[in-house]
Amino acid sequence: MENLLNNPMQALPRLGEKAPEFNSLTTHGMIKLEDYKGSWLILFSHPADFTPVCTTEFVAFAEIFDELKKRNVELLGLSIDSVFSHIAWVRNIEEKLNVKIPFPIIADLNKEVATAYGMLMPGESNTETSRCVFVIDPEGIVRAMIYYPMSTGRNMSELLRLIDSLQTVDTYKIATPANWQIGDEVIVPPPKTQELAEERLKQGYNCIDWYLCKKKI
Amino acid sequence: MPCVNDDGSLSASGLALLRAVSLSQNETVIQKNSGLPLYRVRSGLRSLENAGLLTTENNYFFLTEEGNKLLKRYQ
Repeated sequence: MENLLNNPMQALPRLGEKAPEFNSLTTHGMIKLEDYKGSWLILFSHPADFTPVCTTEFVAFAEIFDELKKRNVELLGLSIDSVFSHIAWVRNIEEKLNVKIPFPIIADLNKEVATAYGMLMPGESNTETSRCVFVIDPEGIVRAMIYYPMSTGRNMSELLRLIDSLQTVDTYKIATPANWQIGDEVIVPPPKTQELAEERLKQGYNCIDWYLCKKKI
Repeated sequence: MPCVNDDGSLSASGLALLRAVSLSQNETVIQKNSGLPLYRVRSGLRSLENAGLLTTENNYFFLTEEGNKLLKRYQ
């Protein structure tokens, strides 16, 4: 563990740090991470093409695509399958489920990106990526990571909520409470000195106590 | 290469990008004119440059003689 943390060559992505670069073959051609500069990016992995849970997830990702666009968020999928398999699968989804997959998918046959992002969980599989999600901001910084096991499909509402939270946090320099949704009160960052703590209760916020104050934005 | 087919012809996105570059050299305007997402513009421009149809200078994009010739075939 010590070695892993100290050796940047082996280190996995960490929140608040630059996302690992890649230049990968996708269903939309060769794409580099830097091509997304200026946009938010959800990079997500799935175990394999033509599998049931992944198919339901791809349909669900396609369904939130327009909502993500409104938030300046791009989607990029990944699995350890060939680009031809990806193409066949998205065509099959369109044919059988009438859903067009509008985002690219990395064909990570050499596991380069999967390894750099820690998407392989040997306890689950050495050959298939788990259901990982990396939210990368317009400056290329990893802002959130979610890992789901192969057996459990992801929740798209939570992904949208996470994006809304991150973007609101950036805009207003606040934090968001559990189960927060757009329109709910947000948390005012707690005061860092005793003097500020005393002042906090007089500032007109909705306070439970000095360390837990909320406000509308 | 997604923008240029193996026989040297342009894909739909390649043609949209080449047309957009003929109207403006600026990435933002190229994106607007091509109607493609920014990541596809960037990756597509790189592929067109690798095919010798574009050159870049200080983040501006210019059609090469070959790019101009190919574009004329589609007009």
